[in-house]
Amino acid sequence: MAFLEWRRFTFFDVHNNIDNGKIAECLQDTHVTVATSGNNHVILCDLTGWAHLISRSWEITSFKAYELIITHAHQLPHDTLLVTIGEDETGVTPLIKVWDWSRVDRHGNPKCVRTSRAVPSHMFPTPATALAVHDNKNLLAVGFQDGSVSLFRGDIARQRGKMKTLSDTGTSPITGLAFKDTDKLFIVSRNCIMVSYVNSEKCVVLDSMGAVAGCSVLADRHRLTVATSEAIYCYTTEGRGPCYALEGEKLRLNWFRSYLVITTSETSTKPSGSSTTPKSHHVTILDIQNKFIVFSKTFEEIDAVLTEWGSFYILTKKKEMIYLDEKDLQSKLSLLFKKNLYDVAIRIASSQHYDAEGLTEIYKQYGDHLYSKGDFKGAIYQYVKTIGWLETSYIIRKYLEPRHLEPLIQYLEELHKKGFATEDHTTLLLTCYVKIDQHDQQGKLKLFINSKDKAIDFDVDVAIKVVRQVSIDDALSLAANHNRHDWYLKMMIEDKKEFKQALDYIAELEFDDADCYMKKYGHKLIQHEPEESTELLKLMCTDYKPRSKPLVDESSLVGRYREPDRSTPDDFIHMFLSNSEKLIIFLEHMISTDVKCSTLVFDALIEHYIHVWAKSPNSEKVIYEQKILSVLKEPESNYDKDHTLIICQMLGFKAGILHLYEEKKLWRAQVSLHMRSGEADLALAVCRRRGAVCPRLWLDVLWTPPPPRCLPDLLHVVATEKLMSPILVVDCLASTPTYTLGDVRKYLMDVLKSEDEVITREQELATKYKKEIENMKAHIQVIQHEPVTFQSSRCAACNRPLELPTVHFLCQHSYHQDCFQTYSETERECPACAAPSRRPEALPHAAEALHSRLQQQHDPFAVVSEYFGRGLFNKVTVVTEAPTPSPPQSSSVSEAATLSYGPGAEAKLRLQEGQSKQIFVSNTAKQIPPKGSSIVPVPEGRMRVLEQQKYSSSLEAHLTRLEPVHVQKDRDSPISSAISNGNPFEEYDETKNPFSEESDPTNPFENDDYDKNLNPFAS
Amino acid sequence: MAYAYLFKYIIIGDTGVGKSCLLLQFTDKRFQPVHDLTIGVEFGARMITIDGKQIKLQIWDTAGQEAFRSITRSYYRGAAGALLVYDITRRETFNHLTTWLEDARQHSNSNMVIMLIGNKSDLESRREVKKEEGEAFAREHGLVFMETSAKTAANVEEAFINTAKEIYEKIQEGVFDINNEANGIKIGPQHSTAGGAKAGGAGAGGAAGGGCC
Ligand SMILES: Nc1nc2c(ncn2[C@@H]2O[C@H](COP(=O)(O)OP(=O)(O)O)[C@@H](O)[C@H]2O)c(=O)[nH]1
Ligand SMILES: [Mg+2]
Repeated sequence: MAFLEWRRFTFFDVHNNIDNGKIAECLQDTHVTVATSGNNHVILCDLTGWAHLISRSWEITSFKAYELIITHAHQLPHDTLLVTIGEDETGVTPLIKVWDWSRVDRHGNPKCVRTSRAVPSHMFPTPATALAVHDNKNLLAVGFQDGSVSLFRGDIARQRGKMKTLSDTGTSPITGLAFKDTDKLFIVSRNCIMVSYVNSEKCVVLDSMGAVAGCSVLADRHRLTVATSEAIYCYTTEGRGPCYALEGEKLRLNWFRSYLVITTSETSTKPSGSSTTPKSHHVTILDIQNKFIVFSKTFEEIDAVLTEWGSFYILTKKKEMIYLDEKDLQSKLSLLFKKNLYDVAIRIASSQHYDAEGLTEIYKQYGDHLYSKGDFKGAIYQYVKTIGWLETSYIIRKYLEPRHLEPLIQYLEELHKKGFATEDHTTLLLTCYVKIDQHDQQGKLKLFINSKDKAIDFDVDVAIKVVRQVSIDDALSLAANHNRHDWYLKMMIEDKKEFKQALDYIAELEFDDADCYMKKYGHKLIQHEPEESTELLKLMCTDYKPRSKPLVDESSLVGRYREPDRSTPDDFIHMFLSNSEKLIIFLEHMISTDVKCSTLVFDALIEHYIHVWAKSPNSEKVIYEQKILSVLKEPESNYDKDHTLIICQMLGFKAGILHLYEEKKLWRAQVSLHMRSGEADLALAVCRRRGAVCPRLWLDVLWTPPPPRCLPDLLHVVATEKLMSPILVVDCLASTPTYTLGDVRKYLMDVLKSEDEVITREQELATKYKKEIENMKAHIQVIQHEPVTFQSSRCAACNRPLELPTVHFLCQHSYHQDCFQTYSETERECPACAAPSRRPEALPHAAEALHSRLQQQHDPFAVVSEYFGRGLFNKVTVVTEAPTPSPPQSSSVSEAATLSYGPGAEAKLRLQEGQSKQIFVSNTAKQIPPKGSSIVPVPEGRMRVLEQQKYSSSLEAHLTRLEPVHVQKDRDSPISSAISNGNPFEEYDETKNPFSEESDPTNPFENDDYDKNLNPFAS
Repeated sequence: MAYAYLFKYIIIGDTGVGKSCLLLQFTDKRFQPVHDLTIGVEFGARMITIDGKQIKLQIWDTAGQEAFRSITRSYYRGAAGALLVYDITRRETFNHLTTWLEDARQHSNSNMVIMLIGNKSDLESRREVKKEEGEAFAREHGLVFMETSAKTAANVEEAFINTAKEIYEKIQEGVFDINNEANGIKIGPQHSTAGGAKAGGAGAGGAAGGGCC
């Protein structure tokens, strides 16, 4: 036995005489020539031509198969068919018989379904030496002593079928045949090994050495295993494969599952013993896969090795059946454990598909064994294999001593790699790294941290947490490597306080991240790195790109427009807190870009400007003041005026306040501000600028009161503009004790003088009119009562001497009758006198006047209401009384003057105050160019007209839009009813009617249910 | 898998020099410290690429013991390449090289490419054979030399691939008759040459020596 080094085990128990001598009893003194098994039966054939069919319960059925001898037999594994070769007569060609032992013939024996000659009739008879039957029952091969091989095709259980002799099979006796698949046949002869391709009848030599009968077997259905005296060779149809050296004379090879059973003859083992020692045979079972010897024992002479009923049976020459009982896996393993052969156990267990849990147990035991022997590294190698099954704490506890660091690390790393690591494991692993690094500077932690590809799977966050406690720098690079920006920044800022680096880091991030983290950490960063932070923020709010990216990226190169990433500055304003300077820089940048900024930005900018302004020394205040004002004045600036005003007021930024007052038209506030700060001159300047619109300003100044030096100017305006009755002025002035009479003398004098002048003028007029009346009365007297002499000699018309017939008028005009008739329009009037006294042609009819105004003005409704207010629609005649146009200025002023003092004057002033659009009657002289108007000086009405004219411009816009709506819609409005009382529009020209349907093709009311008949304006 | 050529190698040398470990490292890329002794002849295969061509290496690992010499010798025949291995930590394995070389030259075809390999280069501290000695021996006998470590895999790939390259070059030079499978070279199934008919005739059955598992 020369299995030099393969390990030996005994995985089989030997049970002698398992058949209780039944076989010996049956066979008696004959010899077994051939044994085969299959389909749960063992078949033994003997020298006398008997076949014995043995069932598992050792019941034996014997029948005479051949007259003389059975030389070969093959029981099909899954059928009841038995193929035999034997001789019925000596010297005659061997016969193939096929038995179906499920059927019986009339003698009660298994039925022979086929008998045929093994050798074709034209050939010399030669003994058969090998038999092979394919499991598909359609192929049968017989090898002969002379080296020929016959192949039968067709159903072996039938008489018919083709038989042929294979070519090129040599001349040495055939010792073994084995089908591989349905197309190849391994042929083993005494001196060569061949493979025959059944279909092409080609025969290829695989090796030029052969084997004796019984020493070749098909293993695993594809590998021909051949035993020679020095080794066991494997062949495939391609050629020779591996070999196992095994010396000794082989008698038999059998294959069962993955076991190769080798029977060798035990030669001269006992050279000392007598030659009469009975021959003995040795049985070796090899586990080819695992390379173990799993059984090895010497028996008496063996006739056959049978593989049936799940195990091996050995039939000795003495016809004793020995059963080799394979141990179950568990006992095999415990056997191995006893010998501490864990690696073998593992190999066997996994080759038999032992379950993972069971394997884990083996690994664990192996590990424990190695551990107890002090091989900690070897043990961990086994423990690693338990990952996923065995509680990790079991192992970790064993390795907690510092000297076990390395195996522990190995285990933990594996744990991570296999994805079973928890947070605690990560923590432990990192701690180990740290320890081992302290100890021998292996830099394991660094290595681990820098493994970007994450060779080891771990929870990065946990790792960072752990490493952070040990080494901030490592934690930082860990965070950086795994893109844990938040951690990175947190540590940079909180632990390292390297704000600059944090900023640099943010600048490298993609926009979304940068934006997010700037919002989160911006506060701190600005606090510590105002300069850089501001720069970064500027960038982020305009057109952000990660710093590492090329300025021009690909997409923009191909021409695609990239919407720039930008944050809203609003989000960052609060972060600057009190750092107004930087905030200002930031915000100034923001408003200088073309990006639209929110109110918040402007508000913040202005607010902080003002703060800075307030804090800065006087010399610098100017700069800021200018800056602020430029922002305030910039029409693009989108700031909240009220808010800004409050800020200005809070911090006393006067320039701003004034500007905002101006913007909001709060001139009175401006004035009062100036007055409060004692700058009466400035206040007056405001009055001068805006007094025209808001005369009240003057009075505000007056009431404050102003310093005496301003009084003359002020009072002058009050006087000329008649802003307040002199009595009230005096009243007001009197309340200020500092004023002296000198300050107001001029005013009083002027007032008195002008009053005086008025009185004188009025009186003069009165006397003049009285005189005229007297004259007229006298004249009337004369005309009525005195005789009249017509003295004129010339015709007042043609200026030629009068000739009869003539016409004389009391006015001393005489005419030729012809002339009179030509000139006169009426019989009763003197044409000469009538002409001037008549209403001039130019004087427009009331209706026409209204008409033209309606045309010219954009607020016809206002015009109508004005007319209505004047009662024109009630008493049309009033209009005819219009006086001759007089120089409007003087008359207007005088009217206005009277008005201001009238009982309604105060009320009117009030009215003016309440209106943001100031209208002041006294201004009319300057503001409104005189119109040769036919307006009757009815105070109320006139007021309205003036107001109306003022408004018209601003109201224009919407009134034009509303224009057509009014009058037409409300047919029952007071206006229309008033008009219908006495229609002043009798001669109304339809074509000029702004409401006329034809005039406006876009008239939205065109298709209205408008009834012409009801139209009060219809002629 | 389809290949352009199949090269047959043998690995020879004293027992324990690491032949089986070299093979395992090359085919499985692993090192097994406790390795069963080779009893007889074992086998491994791997695909490599040379010059853009797929080449299958069929490697026969032999037992080193004298007792098995007769068995292993029968595998020399029809090998295109041989790795002659010694252990740099055991001088006697180096001393036996001449015997191995003679044996190989005698039983294989004369064109066989032989690579001399000093294994276990990782055990520098226990070195007994200097690298220079190996180089000198190789020069003297016209071999290619290399020191390897089956444990660290150093030079293992190179050893096998360089041998294959050398064989490939010899094929290109026409030194090998690729249609004679006794040379240990087989043309792949997809690689039909001018001598295809002849090769096909012999190849149909897979001639002796071209074992496969
Ligand atoms: N240190 C080291 N040991 C090796 C190396 N190669 C093989 N061995 C060891 O050497 C012993 C023999 O190896 P093996 O491959 O069985 O040798 P073979 O008889 O030539 O096949 C084994 O225990 C291996 O662990 C190597 O490159 N370095
Ligand atoms: Mg070996």
